[in-house]
Amino acid sequence: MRNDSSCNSTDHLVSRRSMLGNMLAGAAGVGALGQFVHPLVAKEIEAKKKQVLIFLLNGGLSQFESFDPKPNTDTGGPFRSIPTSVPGTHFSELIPYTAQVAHKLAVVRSMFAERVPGSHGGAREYVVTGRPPQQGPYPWIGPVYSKLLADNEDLPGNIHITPSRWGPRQDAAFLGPRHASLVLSGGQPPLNVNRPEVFDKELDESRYKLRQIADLRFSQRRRTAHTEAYQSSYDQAAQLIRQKDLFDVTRESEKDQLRYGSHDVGRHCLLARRLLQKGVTCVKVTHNNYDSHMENFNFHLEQLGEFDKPFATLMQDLDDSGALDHTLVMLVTEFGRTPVIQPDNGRDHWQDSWSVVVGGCGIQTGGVLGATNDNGTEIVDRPVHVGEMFHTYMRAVGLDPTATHLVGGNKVPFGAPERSAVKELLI
Amino acid sequence: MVIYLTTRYRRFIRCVFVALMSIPVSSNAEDVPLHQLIDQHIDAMLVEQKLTAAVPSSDAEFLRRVYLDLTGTIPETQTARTFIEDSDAHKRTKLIDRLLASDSYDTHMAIVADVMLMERRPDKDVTTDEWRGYLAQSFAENKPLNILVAEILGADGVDEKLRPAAKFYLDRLVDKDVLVRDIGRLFLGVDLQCAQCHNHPDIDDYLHQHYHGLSVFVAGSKTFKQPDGKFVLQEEVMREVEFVSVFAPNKTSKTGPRILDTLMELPKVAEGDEYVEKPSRTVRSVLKVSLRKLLSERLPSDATPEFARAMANRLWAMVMGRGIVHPLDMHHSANLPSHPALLNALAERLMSMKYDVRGFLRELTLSATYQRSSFIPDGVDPAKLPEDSFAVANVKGLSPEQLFESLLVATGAAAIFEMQIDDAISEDSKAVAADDSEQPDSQETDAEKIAEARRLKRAARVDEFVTIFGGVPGQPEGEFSASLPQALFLANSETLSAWIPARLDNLTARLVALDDSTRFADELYLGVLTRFPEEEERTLINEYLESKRADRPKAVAALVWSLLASVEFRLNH
Repeated sequence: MRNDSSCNSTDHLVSRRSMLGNMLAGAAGVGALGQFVHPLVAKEIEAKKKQVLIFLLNGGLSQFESFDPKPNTDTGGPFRSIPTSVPGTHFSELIPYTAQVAHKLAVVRSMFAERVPGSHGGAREYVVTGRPPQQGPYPWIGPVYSKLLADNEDLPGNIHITPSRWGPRQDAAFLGPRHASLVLSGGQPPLNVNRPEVFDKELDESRYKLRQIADLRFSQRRRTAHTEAYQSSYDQAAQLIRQKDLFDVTRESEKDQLRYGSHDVGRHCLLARRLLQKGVTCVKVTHNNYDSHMENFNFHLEQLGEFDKPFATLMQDLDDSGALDHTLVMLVTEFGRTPVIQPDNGRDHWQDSWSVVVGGCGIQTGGVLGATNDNGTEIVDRPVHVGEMFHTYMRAVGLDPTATHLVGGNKVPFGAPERSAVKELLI
Repeated sequence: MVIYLTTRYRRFIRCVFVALMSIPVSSNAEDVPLHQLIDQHIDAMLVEQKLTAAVPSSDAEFLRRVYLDLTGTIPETQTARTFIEDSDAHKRTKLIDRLLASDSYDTHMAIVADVMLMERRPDKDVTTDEWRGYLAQSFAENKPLNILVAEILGADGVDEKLRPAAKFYLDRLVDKDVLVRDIGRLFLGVDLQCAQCHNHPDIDDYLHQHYHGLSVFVAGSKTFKQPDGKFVLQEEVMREVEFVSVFAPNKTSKTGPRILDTLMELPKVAEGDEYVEKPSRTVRSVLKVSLRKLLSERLPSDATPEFARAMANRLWAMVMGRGIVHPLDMHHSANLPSHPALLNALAERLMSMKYDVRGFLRELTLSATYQRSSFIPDGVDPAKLPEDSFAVANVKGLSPEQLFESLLVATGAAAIFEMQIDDAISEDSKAVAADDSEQPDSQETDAEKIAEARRLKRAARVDEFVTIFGGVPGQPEGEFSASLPQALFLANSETLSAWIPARLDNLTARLVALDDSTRFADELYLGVLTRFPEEEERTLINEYLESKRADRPKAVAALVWSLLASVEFRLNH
């Protein structure tokens, strides 16, 4: 830190060690301040750093119209199945691009869960926490990764790209709001990233520095847990305000913008790629809406028609850049849809069997695990419970799901203790 | 949440140990004022555990804390100055009495009770406005806590005056499982839902029976839609429920209405003669013997000692920052209280005081335990002063409402906020006028409408804080934790950044006009942090302002912000 005698520099404030010596004496204080003084450019991602990309197809994706087609049966619906890049494995014709990256994925066709209260909300929580929601709240998987994998203090550990008008979800439970998803509603930057008019750039630095000095004073002779978390929230805020272009997908090449498509989910997938490249640990993209109680086939034709290409493009890009080696990709949905087709061409909620896919880091890809019978009314091979998948998602990135969070002095296992990972899916 | 235990056994051993050690607490405890009794219990444990307690809080520390705890906001600058400079030896007691008698106490307690009982669920049949009005009125009258809870548990929503009390049932959709869980958690301090998952076979059946016994009281209740469209409660016959243990699937058990271990005798009613109004599609069914009424008479009463324990523990946690049993809804044999004898004493006193909330809070805040400093004593490792020792005042995060009110007081922006509200209202009315230019409202209703619109606009601003700083809907408020959206909000939000720059008579404007550096620093620190600045802080301010002479108003605004956004402001310490 230089000692600037001109009095114009904001460094002046922290240079007076005689006056502020006490405040800066703590090692934590100096560290935090050092970080602050040197604005960080986005770090290169270290080869070993694990990242996670989550796709949530909201409403309940039909397994019949995606990864477990049953053409020419009473339950199969009007669509054909098509071959994929994995010989012998067929997907629905609604996802031709995804079919071309099938060898980078593992398909699980035998997902199941018990019925839980709360319809979509409850079932979704079951999938992303691995615990029945009535026992909760447990942290969603994104906050868990943020807590356990994120080591870059300057970036939020867990960003959720949602359709527009989605408010923040308090999804971190006992891990605390620090790990809650930073929501980019409609793919837009978070709220309140623009400096108010009254503070110009220089004054902005002054106010953060004065604030920090006040905190350092307060935390002397007090329990520091509160102050450290508080300081780090401002460090993150200051970094984010400087890095607003992090969220600006128009800074990606025109060619890429064309490849991903100009519709929302296309832009959101490209934004997800950008965030992962910049080093964000966990990125989740939600695509609405698959809840097709009526007109299931038109619904899926339309939704998957949007989703298929950008999803496959992103898988391809991650693979090409080598990122797939350290990035776990999961595609989840709260439940599947009924084999029975309703009179108005709808399919209802179905928790007895559905499909998910997973790929990238730590995953044995190119295969299909589990099977349903000929017309998809029941699982006939290797049922996989949602709680087991939660364990698998942990193991894939090198985390031990039987290890524990410490909550108010009590140990809470990461994954439901009565479950374990699906070994067949792991390398 | 399923209960995982590690602290349990440590606690258990400690409690057994303590029980054996016969703590030197007054033998004729009944004559001792409760606040002294509290200190005797807490101090005895400190001696026992060889812990050093913090020194008494300074006047400034006490003032800010008790204002936040009893009125939900920080004091104005002048109030702080007067109190700190007052030499009256009884000023703390006088202040506590003054705050307990203030209107702000009523509205603050209404918010605390609302958040505790409804846990920020979205409104359904009763608005938060009506409900908080009812609660505030109850606290203004100092309605005994058992009576308040009896009104809530006995409410049917029909009686106009007590309709808001039915929010507890109606906004939970009269869902039996939600009600059993919440009645257990909130009023008995036991989370029976969790207990259902308990894997100890000896305990499991026992809790099973508790769960189903409580469910009998509400299982017959349903909503009924009145001709005017309002939902109210109706009740059908329910005398017992059957249940099956997961450990003995072939064995079916039965229980009648039961509050934990107390089974209730139901008066005999001849079959076919149970109803005042029989169930039908058009008429609300009413029973001769209402089980909800029975619940409202028996649960919040001396007959159910768990009620007084749970309530005493909740009121204690509200001001002490942590329950004697913690979490608050985990009263059970494997999660023993940190101070068992004290909790018994608190519960007994709450009963003998006839559930007088104001009187009880008075005693808690009068105690030396409450009035300790939050500074860790010199040379003591904070890690060795557990929060449940109450050796040091525990810090609490400000609730969203406390933060909102305190920011408004600190910035002195009441007038600016009024203008923000008026602007928003006039924009709305312009939009309405553009939409439909016909019928101008009559003059008489205008004043009322404006008052209503103002209340709603204000509530909307507070909601903005609740969204960002509040807990998960349907769950108890969590402990303090900082997040990025919160920091961004405090740094850049439109709401707050309108209050800070010099304007009208706000804090920054007053400060800009002050040339004297001592008075400047006093005004700033008293206004925002409710204390006088220390020498180092005065020096820092002077040097900073010297370096920013070019645009003093903006430099002062940055300084004001830095204290508003500090952790010292964000916490109740």
